[in-house]
This record gives sequence, structure tokens and C-alpha cells, in this order.
Amino acid sequence: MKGKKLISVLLSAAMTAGILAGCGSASGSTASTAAASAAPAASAAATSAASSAASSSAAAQTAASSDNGEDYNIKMQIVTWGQNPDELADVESAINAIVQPEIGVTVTLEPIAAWDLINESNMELTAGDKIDLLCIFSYGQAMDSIANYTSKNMLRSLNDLYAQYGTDIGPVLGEEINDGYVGDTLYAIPAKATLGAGYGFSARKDYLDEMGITPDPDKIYTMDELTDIFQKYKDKYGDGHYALSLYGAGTDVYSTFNPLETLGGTGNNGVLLDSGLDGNTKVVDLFETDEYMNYCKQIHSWFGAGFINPDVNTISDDVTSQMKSGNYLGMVGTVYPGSLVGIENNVGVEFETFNTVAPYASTTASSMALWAIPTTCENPEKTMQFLNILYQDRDLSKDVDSLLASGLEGKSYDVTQAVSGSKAIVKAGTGTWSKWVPDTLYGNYYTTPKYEPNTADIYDQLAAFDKGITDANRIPKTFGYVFDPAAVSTQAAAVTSVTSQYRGLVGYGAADPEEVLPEFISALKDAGIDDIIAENQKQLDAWLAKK
Amino acid sequence: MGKEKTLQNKRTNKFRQFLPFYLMALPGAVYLICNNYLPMFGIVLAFKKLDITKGIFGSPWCGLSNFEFLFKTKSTIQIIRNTILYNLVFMLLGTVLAVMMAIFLNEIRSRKLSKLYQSLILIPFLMSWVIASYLAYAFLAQDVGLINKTIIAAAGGKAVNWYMEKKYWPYILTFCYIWKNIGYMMIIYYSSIVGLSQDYFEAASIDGATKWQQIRSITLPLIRPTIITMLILSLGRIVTSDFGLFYQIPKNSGALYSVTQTLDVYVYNALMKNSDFSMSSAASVFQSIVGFAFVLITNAVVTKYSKENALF
Repeated sequence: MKGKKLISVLLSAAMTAGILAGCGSASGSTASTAAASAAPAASAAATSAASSAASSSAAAQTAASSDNGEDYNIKMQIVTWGQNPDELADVESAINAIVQPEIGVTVTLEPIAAWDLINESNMELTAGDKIDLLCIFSYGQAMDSIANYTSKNMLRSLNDLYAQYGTDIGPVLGEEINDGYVGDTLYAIPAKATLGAGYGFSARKDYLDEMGITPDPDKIYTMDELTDIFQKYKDKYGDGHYALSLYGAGTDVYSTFNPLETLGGTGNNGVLLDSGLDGNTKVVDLFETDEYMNYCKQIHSWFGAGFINPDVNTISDDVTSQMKSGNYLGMVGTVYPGSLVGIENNVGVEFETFNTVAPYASTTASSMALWAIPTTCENPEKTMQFLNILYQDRDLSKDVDSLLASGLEGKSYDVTQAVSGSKAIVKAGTGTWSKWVPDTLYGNYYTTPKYEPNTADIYDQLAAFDKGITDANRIPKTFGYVFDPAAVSTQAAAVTSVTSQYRGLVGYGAADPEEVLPEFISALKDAGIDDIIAENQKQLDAWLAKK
Repeated sequence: MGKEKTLQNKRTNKFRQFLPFYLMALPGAVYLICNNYLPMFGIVLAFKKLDITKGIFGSPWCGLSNFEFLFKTKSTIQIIRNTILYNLVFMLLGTVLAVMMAIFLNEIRSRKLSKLYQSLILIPFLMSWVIASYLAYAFLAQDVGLINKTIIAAAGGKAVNWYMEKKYWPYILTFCYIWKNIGYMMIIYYSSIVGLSQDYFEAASIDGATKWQQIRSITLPLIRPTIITMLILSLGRIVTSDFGLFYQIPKNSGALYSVTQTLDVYVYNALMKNSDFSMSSAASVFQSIVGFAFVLITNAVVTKYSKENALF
């Protein structure tokens, strides 16, 4: 009896100890999180040591650094398509070898999947974790914006730092630096990308050849003209083949056929029709316009004619997989020099583009990636110096933004043709950098290595593309303006929920717009869209007045 | 004086006697405190406008404005209706079927077979909703789905676009829920049936009671406390829905929202894209309060009709 009792006491004691040990780390991090939110700056280093095991060595360095003469460690986010490239550590040390002697910093690259980025950044910053270079990245429907962070007071003002340390950035960006401002305050530095984009329908060349169709590069095609091509494809290939590949829930491809300024959002919170290219600055609810109704009717007729997969709203293969399956003719999207290289390498066939909208400057296209310095950064001066280096044009072996965008020479890629400075035409090496890391997010995209089948004239084409937009005067007055929905966040949340219900339905043609669109519009009214439009217009007018 | 001392002694003795049990409960208690009670300070976030330089407690108060978005659209009533009705159906149908299964399983004499069936019924519970959603998709897809391609095609009917037709979804969702959860619910009832003394059943069969009479007059009354406890517990979650079921299985298809959208899905769709922690907290505070109210009400009702079965 006594023995039994003793055993049971021992057993339960052992269990308790086990649980306590397991719980120790959890409660530890909770406690430090709480402490950090109370005094973020003070305990930021401690929190990052507790919570991110991956960068433990980095955190140790951080704790030791600060202003005692040692190198400052910059924690920089690296956006990936879901997997970490093999040569991550090599690229990191290659960058350190360049920047450490120059400005006394080291970097720790923190890879995050593109679709986790917004959440991850918000979580880390709310918990007071140290991030020195925050990537505000918009792709597809995952629109992120500076306002997402400034509404919670997470970012540092960069005005003084930029003036003092960012001297090489301005000349590269030109007009595009406006994307980083909210009011008079500069909160982020955009990566140099194209000033804007055109839109088009890009189709597999092998199918077009079989049908004997060649797109006219100087022509702007309308939805009606595309209908004829789609019909030919359908007649030739029959059921199970769809002319138009679409992917993504709760959206539409209105902007493929009409210029549209979304004012830094997804189009839910008010837009300028014709992208304001005709000079108008009137913010309207896109879904109430006649233009949107016409678009919906047209795409609904495509849906009815079998040009679009009936499962379009629920299909889980992205456009690349759909194109690979061979059952689709083409896809729609932005068009700029080199925009098809990625999909061509992936699918293994050539594509040709039917232009639908001529290139124009847009805030969203030019600010795909913005780099901000959060309040949890301990040494903003050094961080800005590092950011400045990304915009310098150097020889390939010394060019930091090329390392970030394209990886390490000899590992990630091999040069097939050197152009000048860091410009080079390359082909994939043994590494996986080009597969998992998007290359448009770092420093100056116009001087980083480009993959085959691009040719050396891609650099001239890119420069000419921007010049073409400027010369044609296709820069809207509102270029650089981004709406901050903080004042109407309740309505914005409700509107987002309404659009996620209806927009995909009418936007991809599955539902009859005559029936569903009025319902959609009235649901938006209930959710308070008018308040948002009014607030947006108010902010825009104030912005324009200041300009 | 002497009497008091004995009482105290008795108490100390009792405490000593139960010490091992207290110790055994300790890990659970510690877990509860770490996992369920410490994070509750986050409730204040629901009433704050978050400013991270000031921290959660330093941020300014903003009254109930974080709750507003929950009641902003006309579909709010629809969403709450969906949440509550689905939960009620799941609770009632699930309990009836789970008890039925447990009784059936208990009647299987071959131990091996009964183990096999039990595992087979449990397997869906171990699957994630994402996998389940692809299984459902394999049946329901319009152009390549099994139902459209084989059953409807064979019957000569017209293909149904399942993800656009809302009238089928209350049944599909209920089916999926039962299919996935029945095994787990059943285990609890099965274990309490197995624990019943065989004497009752022997005595009853000697007196000539049929199987049905045994079930009705012995098994069901004896497992009633378990059933009631389970019901009260699930009532506490009546405004919390199984997010995976309502988001993954209908593939978040907008056409189905009026019958598939529940509170959790609404919150996800509204806030996923702008990471507003204050509004998310507000939503979960709302869920907790309504859930807590439901537990109190149910318990009060149970106390009124059969006091010994009430939770507290």
C-alpha cells in the first residue's frame, strides 16, 4: 500500500516537472512579449533572442552590439515563394564581406513566404521584435500598404535619414520616391521597378501558330476582338479546354481591359476611372459604375460560352499550373519588358501578347516593394546607409542588390554575357535562388542580372519603357497617393467582407451581373462604402492641394 | 476545542490522502493558467486603438468602436443565424448518431472487429479540413467531379455547379461534419457504456428484456449525465464555429456565403488582409461572452429539471 502511494506521488511529480519544463519556454516568451509591448525599445533584443531560434546567433550579436564600436547587425526580411533558397547563408556572408568593411554593419537575412509576410511582420512588430528593414510587399490580391503600419505607429520617419544618408537613392528613383510618403512624412523607400505597366492577354505561341493567329504588337485589343480568338480556340480544341486562365478568389480582371487607379488598395475603397489619365480626380465606387457593369456582362458571356473554367472561383491550381496543364490558351496580366520570361521558363513554351491597355504609370505597379525602418530598429542611421548601398551601381561582384535579387554568381547563376557594371545576362546555376526569391524587390531592378532568354537590350528596353510612359504623358496626377483607411477602419473591414463574397462572382463571370451586381452594390452601401469614398476623396483633395 | 482539533486533523488527513490527486491535477492546472488564463489580458485590446510604441496597456481606449464592424452589414443576422443553427444541428444530430454508434459498437462481440470498426470511424477525425476539402472537391467539382461525371452523367441529368448552388450546402456541410467528428464523439459515449456494470444487463435479460428495452431503460438513463455534460460543453461554443469546415469545404465560394458563412469566417474575410488585432480581439470577446451566457442559461435550465446533472 505504502509503496503504491509512493510510486503514484513520484509519477505525478515527474509529470508535473515534465509539463513545467515544456511550459517554461512558452510562458517565458509570453512574459517577455508582454514586457516588450510595454517598453518595446528596451527589451526588443531580449525578445528576439527568446522568440526566434533561427536567428539566435544574430540575436546574440545584436545584444552585444549597439553603440560600442562593434558592427551593427541589420535584420532584413527576404521575401520567398514558400521555400528558403539553398544558398541563403552564402549570399548573407557575401553581402557581409562587402558591407562590413565599408559601413560597419552585418546583415541577417530573414526569409518569409510572400503570403505570410503581412501577418508575420505585424505579429513581430506588435510583439516588439527587432526588424531593421521591413518589406511592404504587394502582389496579386495581398495588398500591403504603409498605412497598415503607420496606423499602429510602427514605422520611423525617414525624412532626415534620407536627406543625410540616402544620397544615392533619389537619382535612381526619380518620381517614384513619392510612393514612400504619407503626407509630408517619408516612411518607406520603394525598390526601383518599372514606373507603371501595360496590360494584355498573353497566349501560348504554339496554340496561336496552330490557329494561324499572330498578335499585332502596336494594336490595342478590345474584349470583343479577344472574343473572336477565344471562339476559334474553343472551336478547334473543344470541351475541357479554356481560352482564359484565371486564378484567385474574390477579385476580377477589370484593370486588364480598362486603365484603373486603385489609390493604393485593391479597388474596394474607391478608384479613379481611366486611372485619372483624362485628368479626373473623382473617387468613385468601382462596382457602381457603368464601366464595371459592361465588363461584368462581357466576362459573363465568356463564362457562358465556355471560355472560362466553370470551377474558376474554387480552382486551386494557380495560373502557372493551369498553363502547364496545356488545357488553357492564355492568361491576362501586367505587361512590361521581360514580364513573360518567368512563365516561359516555367511552362517551357513561348508566349505572345495581345495588348489591351497601353502602359501607364501607377502607384501600385511602381511600389510593389517598399522598404521601411520600423520603430524596433536600434540603429536607423546604419540601416539607412545600408539601404543606400542597394541603389548604387557597382561591379557585379560588389553589387549588393544584385546579390539579393539574383543570388551568388557561380552558384545561383552563371554569366553568359556581361553587359556593364552589374548588368549581365545569366543562366540558372546549381542554386535555387531564382526559383524561390522574386527579383524585383531589392534596390535597382534596372541594373541587376537578367535571366535568359532575355537579351542584352533588355536594359535599354526597360529604360525606354519608363521614358515611353513619361513621353506619352501617361502619369496620373494622383501618382504616389495612397489612401489611409484608418479613419474608416470599421467600414473598411465590413466592405472587405462584402467584396470577398461578391467580387469574385461577378468579376470572373460566374454570376449574371444584372442579378447579382445590384445586390452587391446595396450590400456595399450597408457596409458603409459611401463613408470610405468620401474619406478617400477628402484625403486625395488634401494631398493634391499640397502638391 | 478538542472537537475542533479532530476536525482539523481530519482535514489535514484528507488533504494528505488526496495529495497525489492534487499533484496529478497540477500539470493540467498549470497548463490552463499558462494557456487559457494568461492570454486573457489581451481582452483589453478589444477596447483599445493599438499603438505599438505605447504598448497594449498604454494605447488609448476607444470604447466599443472595435465591435461595430461585426454589426455593420445586413448579413450579420444571417451569419449569427448560420453559426447558431449549424451548431444546434451538429449538436443534436451528432449526439444522437454518436450514441447510436456507441451502442452498436458495444454490441459487437468480436473484440477484433469492434477495434477495427472503431479505428475506421475515427480516421476522418484525424484528417485536416484541408484534406477533407479536396476529397469533397473530387466529388463536387463541376467539370471533373465524380458526382457530375459518373452519377449524374449516368442518370442523364444536367451537371450541377455545386459550388454555386446554395440549396445543397446545409446538407453537405452537415454530412461532412458528422463524417469527420462522429468517431471522436462516439468514443466518449462508448467508454461510458463499456464502463456500465454488466449485472444490470444480465438481470434484465434473465427477466426477458429485449435488446431495445435494455437500451431504452438501462443504457440511455445511465449515460444521461455524460450526454448532458457534453451538451452543456458544446453549448458553450455555440457561437464559435469550426473554421476549417465552413471555410475550406465550400472553398470560400462567395455564392454560398448566405448559407456557409459563420462568425469565424466573417472575421477572417474581413480582417485577414489588414491585420487589425483590436477588431479580431473584439470578435473573439463577443464570441466568448455569448458562449458564456449560453453555458449559464443551459446550466440554469438543467439545474431546474434535474439538479444532479448540472455542471455547477
